[in-house]
Amino acid sequence: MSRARAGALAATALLGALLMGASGAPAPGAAVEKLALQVAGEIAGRVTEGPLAVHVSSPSPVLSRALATLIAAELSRRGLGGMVVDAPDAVIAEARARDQGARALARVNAGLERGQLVARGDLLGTWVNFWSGRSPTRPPQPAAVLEAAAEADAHALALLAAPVTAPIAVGTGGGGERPPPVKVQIASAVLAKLPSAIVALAAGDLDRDGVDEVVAVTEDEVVVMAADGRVLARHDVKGLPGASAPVRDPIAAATVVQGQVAYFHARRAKGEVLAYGGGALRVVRELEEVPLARGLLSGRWVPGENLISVDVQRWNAPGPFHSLAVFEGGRTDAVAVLPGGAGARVRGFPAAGSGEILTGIGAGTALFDVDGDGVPELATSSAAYAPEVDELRVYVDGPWGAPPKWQLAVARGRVMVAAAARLDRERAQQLLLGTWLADGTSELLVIRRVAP
Amino acid sequence: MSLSGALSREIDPTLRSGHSPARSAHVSSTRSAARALLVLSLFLTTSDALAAGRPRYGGTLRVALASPVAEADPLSIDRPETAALAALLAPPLCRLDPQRGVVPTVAELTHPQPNRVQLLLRGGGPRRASDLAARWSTLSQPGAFSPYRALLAPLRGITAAAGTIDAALAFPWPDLDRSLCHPALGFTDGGPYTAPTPRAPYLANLSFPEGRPFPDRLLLTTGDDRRSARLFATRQADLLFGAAPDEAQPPPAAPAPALFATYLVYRSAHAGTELRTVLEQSVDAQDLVQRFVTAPAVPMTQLLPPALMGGAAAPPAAFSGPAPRAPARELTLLYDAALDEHRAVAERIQVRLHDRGYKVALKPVPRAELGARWATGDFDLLLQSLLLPPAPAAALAVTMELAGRHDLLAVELTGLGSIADGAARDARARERAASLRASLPLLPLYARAPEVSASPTLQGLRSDAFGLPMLDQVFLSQE
Repeated sequence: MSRARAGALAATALLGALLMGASGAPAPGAAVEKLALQVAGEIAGRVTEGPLAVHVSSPSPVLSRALATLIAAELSRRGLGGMVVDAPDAVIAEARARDQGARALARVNAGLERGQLVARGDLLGTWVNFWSGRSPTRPPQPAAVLEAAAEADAHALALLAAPVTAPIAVGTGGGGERPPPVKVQIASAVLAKLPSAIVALAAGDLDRDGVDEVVAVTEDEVVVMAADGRVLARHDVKGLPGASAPVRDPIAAATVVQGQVAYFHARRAKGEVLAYGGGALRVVRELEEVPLARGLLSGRWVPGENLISVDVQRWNAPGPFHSLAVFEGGRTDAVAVLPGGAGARVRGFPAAGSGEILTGIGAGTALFDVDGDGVPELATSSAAYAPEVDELRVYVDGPWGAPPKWQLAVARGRVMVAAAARLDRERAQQLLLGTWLADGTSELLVIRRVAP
Repeated sequence: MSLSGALSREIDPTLRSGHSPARSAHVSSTRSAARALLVLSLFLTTSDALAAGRPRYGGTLRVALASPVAEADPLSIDRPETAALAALLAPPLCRLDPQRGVVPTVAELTHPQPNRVQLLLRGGGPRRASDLAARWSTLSQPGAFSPYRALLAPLRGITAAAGTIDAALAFPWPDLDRSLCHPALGFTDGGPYTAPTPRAPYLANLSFPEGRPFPDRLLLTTGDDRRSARLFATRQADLLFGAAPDEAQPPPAAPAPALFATYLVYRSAHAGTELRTVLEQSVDAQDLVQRFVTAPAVPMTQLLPPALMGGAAAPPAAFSGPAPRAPARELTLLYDAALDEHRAVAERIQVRLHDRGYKVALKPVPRAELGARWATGDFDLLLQSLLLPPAPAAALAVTMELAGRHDLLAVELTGLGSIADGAARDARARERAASLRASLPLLPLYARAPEVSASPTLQGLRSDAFGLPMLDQVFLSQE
């Protein structure tokens, strides 16, 4: 086992709660629906008489209710009279199912396991023999173990993430003592698959509904997606003239400025500002310079290379960089990815100068507030070129050199771009990752908190 | 914090290095042991070098080549190492990636109609398309000195206009796109590097359509095995080509196909009809690979290399029975004067045939003359090495052309091209290769893969589907 893989697995084991990976490109809700169909099929294969009660538990009450509803509906469709039992635990569910007149009860526990939405449980008879007297003996049939799994998708993750009942720590932002840290579990899923490499990512509220849209720049187009991965609009970038010096390493810069998409592909001579509306992207104007940091800065591509240089009059950058990520909260922070795995983190961008030097960071680097405390975490991919297993590391704010707070082994591909997004109305942000796969396609992953 | 990434491909793990008797005297026992362990030719070490996940631009890529520099003419490639270097100056039309398939580099292949192919050239001057079309037309002629003309056999009516090449297909040929990525069909200049003068460093070509290579320049040093290996061992070279390093290296993570095949071609009219049986009984491909071929190679028992025939291919039926009576015939074996490997193999064949009563005269000739003698059929025996395309049907076409059976192409290729399913077509091509092996006037000998070692500072080294290292993709990490 390689060092990278062993390290990733060990990190995953240590964290325990980290659940990673997902594949396939299901439609919204497909994973939950698939799982419900499987579970219902297993139940129907073992029971011939209804009504049947279903009790589902999971880390998320919303997911539990959704899965129970779908299973019960499928059982009813099969003529088995499905009913949902609402109970705080499986033991109480048995008594309630019996009280409601169910002939059998399916008790299912659902959760995420290594990118799979998994359901396990049992099926038991709830009919009590009159001759048993006061002893609630169970009938010999039905009795079965239930198990089903489906690849997780973004919708399943959203269901898991929805029930935030525990308070989230909120940073004071003023330098005072912070509340005690809250244990946060994060997970990832595939939001979308794209036919070519994602060369830049951005997110912003393009339709003013309070939730960000996702902007992915690929070799050929700009794609705007909703928070659930639905494609809202596409814009062909091949109409722009080619750069005078083509760039071998595919790279672009993208950001959202006042609700409009600004991007500049390094293989094109110009960039563009695009406005989203009516299900389409409209060119507002062309750009001569590379848009950066939500419009706070701009630069120029180094001819023929994968680097952006900025005028020192605008920002005392530590050197030409691959990408620049910003976080706008109480103060504006930025992190630049430099060649050779180096970086620079600026607290109070851009006035604070070149900032703190970072080492060992990768192309997929972003600042995002995973726990909603108002202070950004720094997420970064492996610094190695084409590692056997890429790994996302998340660092809390503080002097560089401390170990990462979380580590996620990426199921497949290389993480080459990253961006923060707010895909719901919670305080916490999500992290978008663009991974390049060996076959030339790419996946858009979303990392989000799933608990508490 | 540093993470390591092992990037490694691609050599058939069955490949073995051998030693020529002539060279073994120069090889220390330690080095012999090391080379015996060497089962790879393209290798990349695990490296802690950081790259931020993106290639770094700049620096000088230093290459030690244990062989003379090859001509940039794609038709003259004679070894996988020099073929890879030649592609830096004379680029193929496209890159055949093992995982991504056909990747456009200097031309984009489209099929406006099922029976037509169109190449949209990227960059270059207005005459680039017409120059390439003229070159293809010349290569297609019956008198062309290259067996690679078989790759163009499906095309008819090649025309060029305004950066575009159009051609019709004489018959369906699903392997056409992959075939057109063969280095022999590419350009003769305009690659990712330029060479201002023959001995000057290669300079990055800023206007190369796919983008300039990552290093600023490439410094090529040629020499014998020992000098090249010494340069690599002392870190004066980032890449070692055509020789094994002084120290044993770990095995590769992924095998590369050995598609550089060497054949012994004969003319029955000159050599006698009984020669086939004599050759089959006396020339031992395994023996050649183990003792006379100095690079990673695999013996060929079938018409096509094992990488193309697959594991299901059965070895050929042995030619049994009594040995033919010694005919006391005198023959001449031609080989490329520039290739030590061919000389060693030719000497071995000379010895083996001598035992069977043949007097074989060895005649080293310049490559151009070898091609001319092959094209006109003016030879008894000759050694020829070819880079076969990684598609069994297309490789079979080249092999038939090498055997001088251009007349078979229309019949065989029409049948193969009509099979739309790729796996079924490959299987059928293997069947035809097995059937044709005994009837074609050539003897398969061995297939080679590149012998390449890379220093830990070099990253991004991969092989294409031809088994050739893609040198324009590498970069130097900061160390």
